[in-house]
Amino acid sequence: MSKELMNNIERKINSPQILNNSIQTMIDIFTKFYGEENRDYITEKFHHMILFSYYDEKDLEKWLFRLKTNISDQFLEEVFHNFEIGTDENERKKHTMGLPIYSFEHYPINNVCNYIRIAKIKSKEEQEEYARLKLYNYLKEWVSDISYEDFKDKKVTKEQLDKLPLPITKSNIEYYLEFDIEDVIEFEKDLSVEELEAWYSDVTPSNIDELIQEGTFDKLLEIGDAFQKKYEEYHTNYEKRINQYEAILEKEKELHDKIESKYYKAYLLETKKYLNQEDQERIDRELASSETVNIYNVSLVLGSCLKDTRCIDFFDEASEADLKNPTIKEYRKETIQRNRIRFFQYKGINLGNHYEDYVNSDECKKIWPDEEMLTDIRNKANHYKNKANIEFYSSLPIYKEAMKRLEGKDIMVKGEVFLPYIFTNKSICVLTNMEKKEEKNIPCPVLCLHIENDDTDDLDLIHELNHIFEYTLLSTDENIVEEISGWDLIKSRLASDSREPVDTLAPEGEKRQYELLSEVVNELIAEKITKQMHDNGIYIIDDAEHYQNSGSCLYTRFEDLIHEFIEEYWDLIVESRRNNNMHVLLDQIGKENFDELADLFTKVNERFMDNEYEQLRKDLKKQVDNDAVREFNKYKEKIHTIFMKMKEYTNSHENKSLSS
Amino acid sequence: MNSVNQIEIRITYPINTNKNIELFVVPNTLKVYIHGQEKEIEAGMIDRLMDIICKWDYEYIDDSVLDATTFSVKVYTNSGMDRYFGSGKYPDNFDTFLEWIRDL
Repeated sequence: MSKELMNNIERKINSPQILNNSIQTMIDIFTKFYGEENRDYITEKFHHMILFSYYDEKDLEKWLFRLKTNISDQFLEEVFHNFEIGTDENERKKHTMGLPIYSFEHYPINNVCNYIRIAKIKSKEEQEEYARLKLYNYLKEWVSDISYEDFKDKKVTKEQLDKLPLPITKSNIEYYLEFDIEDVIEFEKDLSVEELEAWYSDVTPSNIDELIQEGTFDKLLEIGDAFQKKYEEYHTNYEKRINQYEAILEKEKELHDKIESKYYKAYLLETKKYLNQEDQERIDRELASSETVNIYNVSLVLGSCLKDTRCIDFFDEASEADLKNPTIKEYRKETIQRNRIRFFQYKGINLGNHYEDYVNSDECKKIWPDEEMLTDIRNKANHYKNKANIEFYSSLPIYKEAMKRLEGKDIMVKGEVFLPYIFTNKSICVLTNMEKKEEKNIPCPVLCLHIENDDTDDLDLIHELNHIFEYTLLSTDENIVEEISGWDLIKSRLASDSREPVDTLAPEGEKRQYELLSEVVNELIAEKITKQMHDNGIYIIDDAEHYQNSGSCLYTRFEDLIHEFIEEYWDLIVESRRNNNMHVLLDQIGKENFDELADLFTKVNERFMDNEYEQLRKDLKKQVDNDAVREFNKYKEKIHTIFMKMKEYTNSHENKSLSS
Repeated sequence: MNSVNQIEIRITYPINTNKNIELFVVPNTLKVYIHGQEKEIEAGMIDRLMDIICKWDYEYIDDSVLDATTFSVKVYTNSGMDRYFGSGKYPDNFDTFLEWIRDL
């Protein structure tokens, strides 16, 4: 299982190359589904698209965490199973003398057993040699150009030390370089006593060696040796591969913090006017002399970072509404009041801890933060958050690789205009774009795929590819585009000016008339195509052996409501979604009926979002009778009525055709 | 924070090598229990936690994320329980919340 997870991570990281090498496979998959007669059409479409898959440092962190947890569980299980020790933690502790086992990587038993092995060696010189060799062997894994003689003479450079990934082992080697090997051994002895004495209170630094020689810890050492062996397996199969990704992760996190800090300071310079004079001067002094600004009052009023909550935020309209709302719990009101009091006390008005005294105070009224002030601070925070997003994401190797692939293409919407937005919002979508070729504008849609999940990456890919397959360009005029996506006619202006920084925090646009209904259908088509390809043994990003489709998706959660419509008119539905063919469906079911269905379906989705949907799902399962369930059932009946009207329309349409 | 009896925090999120984070904060005794281990906490830390979560909506859900990382913060008071929950989606200041936990 761990091997598969490791391979899975590497497949995700290499997804840009995998995808771009799989275009012919995608063409074949879609041709198999839509028919050989559509091969040229599909080939043209897919050869013009731009494929862009990506992940960020949080995704990588999650994958590595999951992998290491899995390795840990697997290896712990295997070690204890060999000693016929079960999974109960307390039982395991009896065998490990109380030493906890947090994970495969972090277990004090390893440190203690290291010392026991040293202490079992009779001569002092041999002990020192053993300990020194152990440190050297670890260093050698990462630093090939160092001899044992140089290591004994402590000729290790800073550059060589910096190659060591694990901070604990690096610090052990640094300790050895600063002191002597016998100090390292002594240090390990003290640590071991500390670890053991919680369980075995008789152990002390002066008697631990004797206890070791007597065999008191032999059983522990046996288990420790088994762990050691497993660790070597981990070292051979995983450690280097994991460490290289952890090193990348570390660098990206450092970069992230550096950029955040830079723009936080810029934000402070523009908002410090809301602070007391003294703090404004302190900010100027700190910015001049150090990398960070760490002033309590500044954090309090303006936040400790761009995304932090500020006490100023509790003066907003939402907070005011909460204070007046009798259903809001006391602790929320207390928090609002406490922050408001803090602000006034910061401004030098101290009337104690009773909030009403501040509300009634003329002095407070004079400096009560108004909407203009709140908006100014909020806008400046967002402005610098946006800049931080753009700078961070455009520094990532995967971003630079994407930009390189766009080089040489004369595309209308440049990479620097859409990529930062995609990264910030983790979008999975198709973006309209045009490429100028021989004086013509050729559609080159950009397929953006956020690689995050452990499965269904293929389904996400196929979903977006199907959008591209169905896409119809009606006209272009400069950067105004008229196009059909699914069933929606869209007229839009492409953002082609790359001089203005993109707004990575801009909210999504409103849903189009047929959009939600269209997405359900697109997802259903994608599921069929994905199933067909997987049944034929074709996998692009997903892992062939361990693929699991959980079957749940935002778009299809209300599929049941329109199931009869989908089943009855499936072939017409599929045909209507490309080449401006919507009429083939509408001629059969009536435009009015279709519009009514789309509107109602959108209403249901908007009514039951997020927590309401979760609650509804539970209530429907338990057959609860409440207002929400009754409301939902009314929608269900109305949709069924519309379906029956569609059938009536179809029948009357067929009768007319027969009679004419 | 007199009106809060207990705050229960659970996260499945990779901020350290433990699989899940489980904390119980008891404001009145200024104690926090991390995986069963007791630790003292300053009143200021509790205020800070309240500042962070009181600007949250009650739910942040992205259904399209199939194996989502989840968090749950339950605030127990004499008049009932508020639950802040997220699955695949997080409040804007979630990093600050994680920093708060790391600081413990």
